Amino acid sequence: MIDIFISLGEFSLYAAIAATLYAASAAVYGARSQQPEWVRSAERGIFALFFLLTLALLGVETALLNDRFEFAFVAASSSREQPWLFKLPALWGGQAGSLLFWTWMLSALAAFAVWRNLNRNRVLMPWVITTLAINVLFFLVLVAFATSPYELLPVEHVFSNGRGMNPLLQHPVMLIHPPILYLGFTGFSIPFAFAAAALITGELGQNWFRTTRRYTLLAWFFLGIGLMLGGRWAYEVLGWGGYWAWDPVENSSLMPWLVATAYLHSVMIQEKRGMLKIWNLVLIGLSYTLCLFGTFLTRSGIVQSVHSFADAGWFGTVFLIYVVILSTTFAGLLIWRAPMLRSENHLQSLVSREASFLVNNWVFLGLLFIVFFGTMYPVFSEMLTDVRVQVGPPFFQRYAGPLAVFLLLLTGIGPLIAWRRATWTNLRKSFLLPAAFAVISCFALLVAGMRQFYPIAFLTLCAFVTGTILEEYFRGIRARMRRGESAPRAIATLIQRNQRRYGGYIVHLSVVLMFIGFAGAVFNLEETKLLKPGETWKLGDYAIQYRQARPVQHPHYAGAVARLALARSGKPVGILTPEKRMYFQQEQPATLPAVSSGLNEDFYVILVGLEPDGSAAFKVYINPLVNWIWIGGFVFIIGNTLLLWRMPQPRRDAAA
Amino acid sequence: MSKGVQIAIAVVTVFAGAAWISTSLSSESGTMTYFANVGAYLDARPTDAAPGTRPSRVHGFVVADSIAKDLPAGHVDFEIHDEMATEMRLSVRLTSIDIPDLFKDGAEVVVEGHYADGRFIAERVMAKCPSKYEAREESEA
Repeated sequence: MIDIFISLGEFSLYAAIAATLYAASAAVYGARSQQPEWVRSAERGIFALFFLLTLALLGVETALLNDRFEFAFVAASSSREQPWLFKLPALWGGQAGSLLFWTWMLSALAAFAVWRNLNRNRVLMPWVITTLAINVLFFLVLVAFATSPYELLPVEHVFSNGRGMNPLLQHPVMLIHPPILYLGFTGFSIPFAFAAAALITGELGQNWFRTTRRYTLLAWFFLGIGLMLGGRWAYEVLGWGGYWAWDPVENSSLMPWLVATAYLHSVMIQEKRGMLKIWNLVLIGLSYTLCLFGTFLTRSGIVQSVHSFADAGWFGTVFLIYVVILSTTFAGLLIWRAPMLRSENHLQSLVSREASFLVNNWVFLGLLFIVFFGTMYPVFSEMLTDVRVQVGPPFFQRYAGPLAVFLLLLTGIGPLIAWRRATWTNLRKSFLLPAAFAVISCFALLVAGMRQFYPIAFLTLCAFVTGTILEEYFRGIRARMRRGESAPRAIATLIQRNQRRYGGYIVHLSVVLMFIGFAGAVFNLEETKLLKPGETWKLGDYAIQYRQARPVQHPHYAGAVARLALARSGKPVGILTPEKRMYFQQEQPATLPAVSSGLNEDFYVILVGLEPDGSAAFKVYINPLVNWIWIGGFVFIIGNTLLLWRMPQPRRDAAA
Repeated sequence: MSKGVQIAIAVVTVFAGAAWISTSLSSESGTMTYFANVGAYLDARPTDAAPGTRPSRVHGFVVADSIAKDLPAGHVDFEIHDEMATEMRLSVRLTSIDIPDLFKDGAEVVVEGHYADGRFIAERVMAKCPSKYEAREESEA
């Protein structure tokens, strides 16, 4: 029974290729010959594709759950001892399975978009289907022929147990981090497909981006959460005291996110003022291309990284060719249609919302350029000079820092400045209070003894942006309360009536909170010291006493755990127990940090090593304000939920 | 302004940015690191003067029985050899007690630091997991 199910899954993978080919051809034929029944048939092809890929996915999961180590993929990413809860996500723990998961998610989104548009966008849909089908096809061919999760091991290599998933990945965050990230990546295929369809058909009005607004926002939202969860996981599991290393794989998710953020802003200009039409298409094309490029970076091993899958040589080449073909085709379509994309309005003043959004776009693209340049520098330098030169976090901080300051300033200005041309009255009315608030904060920071540029700039601007947001909320609530609504009711109707505006402010607030955390990073402290049992180490106003260490024996790993008594300003805080493990099966060391966490700072300690005489080396990181990043993450989720939630819209009364 | 001019300005801006970043990189410490194998690093004849002092990452394997730890003094001395030409050796002093778990005889490591006083002064050592190494070798084959 189980064997039949697994075979069915493998067969479905090949059948899915046929379904994709059929859907693409039927959609094109139906559109060209104007026969809607062919388009209907293509839509069913997409549903069939989703069904078949679901079977293929379930087949691999079945093999994982039943310890079928004759499959190379199962042997490499699962083991008998792995609890079933971690056998399921082993699917995305390795190259072959994660690629199948990617493809399945793409097909799920395609099916969903087709289903939502069964009676809408009839002109666009055939080309949306074609674009999506071609994308799925590419991944399917890779999954089926290059790195199949159904590939069998040669008989002499089949053992009764597998290597198991990397123990560092066996963490609750890893259950959700990859699916969320993949949903973000694949989510951009929907706006991309609609944009391509709009270019092909010449239906370049507001339809394509209005239809895909929620998909884009959702993809952007998930990519954002994915980035954050990745940071959180690194902080908790990798034991290097940080959450972001400017590692190529992290960068490859950051790049599409930056472009998509630019797009979400500039598309508002097109919606309201009919400007930036070509620009928006460029941004959406770039977002999806970067999603693919990021996937390529992660999987081809071209840039060495801690978590690249590093596999398969020709795979990388094929992938790169595909990315190039897809982006050139899109660019070609764009050039062909450029005459139809004339701006309906012109920029009237540099002091206007249009201009501030435009500058915002340039800053985001500037950041993209820096991240791209830094990530690809080793590759470029090796190609040009034969010497591999790597750039580290200082590079990114140095060049991205000034842009981040500027961006934070725009976060405050953009939403409040008037359309077309801002007047003095508008500027004074909107910015006087927030600016005063910012100046006071800046003064307070200087008085408190802060002298570094970045924390002062970040925190001052955080105060400024918070000021604008509070002011907007306050004004909106006051206006409603004047009409007799109670305060809570006024907040609810305010958000309900103007979801995008007030939800957007909450997202901005989350950015502010995260920047408070980034500002704190300037004051990060790290120290290493060898301690004898009983010895006390004074570090700032902390004192840690090393009590003892004991060995840990476990069926899967061996290690040591140390007991430290932590005191701050003479008062005991508690016992910290950093741990060190070596997993036998995977020869994978793990460092389990112990953290005393607070809103002002984290005291983060790892056990570096234990010597035969009982003395132990510890490394301490003091990370001020780091928790504001995670708090910002929660607010980010709240803000986006407000943006995406379908709220019942009350009938607007005449005054509103 | 015509579209052509706008595009030209954009392209020029991007290239000027890249050029500016590239030229300013080398003057700033810590932003840029050279990466080489032990063999290639020694072939470049590192001296105490530039370019030997520039920050580098050197890849190699720990020579058996070469590790001498002095944790109370806060350093570890060892040698690394080239992957292919095993007779090419580089003495390293790690000026930290932050030693990775996988650091042992024969381990594949990347040392990060600079050349001074006839040896490599490493601020950091990264050790590689053998399994990851296998995967990379396959991809390069």
